[in-house]
Amino acid sequence: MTSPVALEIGTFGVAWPPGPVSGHSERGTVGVMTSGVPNRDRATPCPSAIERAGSGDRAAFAEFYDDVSPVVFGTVVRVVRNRAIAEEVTQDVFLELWKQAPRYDRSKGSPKAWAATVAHRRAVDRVRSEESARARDVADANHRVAERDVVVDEVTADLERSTVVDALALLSEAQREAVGLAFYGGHTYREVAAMLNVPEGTIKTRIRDGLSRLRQLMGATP
Amino acid sequence: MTPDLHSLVAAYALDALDDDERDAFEAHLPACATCQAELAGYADVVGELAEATADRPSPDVRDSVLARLDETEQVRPTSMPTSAVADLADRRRRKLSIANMLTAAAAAVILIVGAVVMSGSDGDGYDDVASAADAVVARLEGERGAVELAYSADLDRVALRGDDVGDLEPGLRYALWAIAYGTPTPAGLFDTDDGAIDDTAELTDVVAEAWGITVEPESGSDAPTTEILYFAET
Repeated sequence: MTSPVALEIGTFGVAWPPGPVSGHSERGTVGVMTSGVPNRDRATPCPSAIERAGSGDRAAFAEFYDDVSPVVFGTVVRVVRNRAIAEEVTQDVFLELWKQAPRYDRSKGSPKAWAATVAHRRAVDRVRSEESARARDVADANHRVAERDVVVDEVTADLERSTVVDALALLSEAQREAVGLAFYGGHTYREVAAMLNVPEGTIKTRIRDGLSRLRQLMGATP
Repeated sequence: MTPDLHSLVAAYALDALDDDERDAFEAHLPACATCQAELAGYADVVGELAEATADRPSPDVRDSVLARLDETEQVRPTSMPTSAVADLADRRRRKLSIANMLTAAAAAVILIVGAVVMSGSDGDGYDDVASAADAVVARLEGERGAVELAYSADLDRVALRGDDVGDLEPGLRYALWAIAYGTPTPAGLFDTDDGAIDDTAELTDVVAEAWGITVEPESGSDAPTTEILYFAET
């Protein structure tokens, strides 16, 4: 199959800075929840909207919603591929985020990252439960996998240009494919291995190497 | 159990494990600082991957979410160890109430008081601890079945009872860990008799969001060196 991540490296490649790309300080819109708070100060105690929401502040939660709902909805719709279902799942995600807000821990990632993590998992679980309900029909399952392949091609072809897209362009094609099918396609690594006819261990390694490289490129860790 | 759970961190971060592996990984994670650190390092990458597909939901979703906040109760923060336990009530049967031990102390400040552990068999058994007036109990699940745990702050003792945990090689013992904030603290070493555990160990000032049991050298370890065999959230 063709590469699921149709990135035109030549287009953005020249714009790359030599060092790690900061996902936050250089692109003001990326660090949604840290707006007004420079990246280097993330450890300061100034509470973000989600932290205020954690003590029951509904207005703060509305602010948090406005900041991260495009990320949440976009993630969910990409995986479930149906806007109506995605809106339903998005509601569940935000109620879960509200419920868990008192436990939000900024040392484990930005509010946006936290929201995206919860959203992605909910979306994947939704797809899996629907698939398992239909899984008795093997032919249907095979058909769906083929169908999903096509969608993954689209999925990654039209990503907004962003730091992460630039970073994805610097992965090996094999890594980009594995990360893209897993995250944007919502597939397990075993499914990815079966789809690509590659050993499972190889896919596990590609995902791990791919994510590690993305982390380095985006300067998410020292 | 998958032999190398450490290799699954990245796939877990992308929700790319099937259900069995996910469960196994999540049982492993609370006791593994290496995996926790690696996972935390991927969080912002996941956030950025998600950002690239940003898309606005209809305004109805916002209205609906905000309208439903009132009917959705928030959990209590984990920054106070008692809260994790209190939250237990809405997730599973409330069996272990460390909350009662710590309510006063934990109001504002997190205290992880080093658990003072003296090993040991002194003839007491599970029932001696479980029958204490303030006893709290938990059921640690593992592949071979369950191990029951009882803790009494009055007695400063913790007890384990498991009928079929299996005997260990000479030089090894079962080690109990009290896990809080993802960090396991030694909570006692236990020997078996004919494949079963029914023994107590001294344990004071414990904070536990979860309990786990591993196999360790008989003198104990500062941190788990093997996979968690039995596990319970409190």
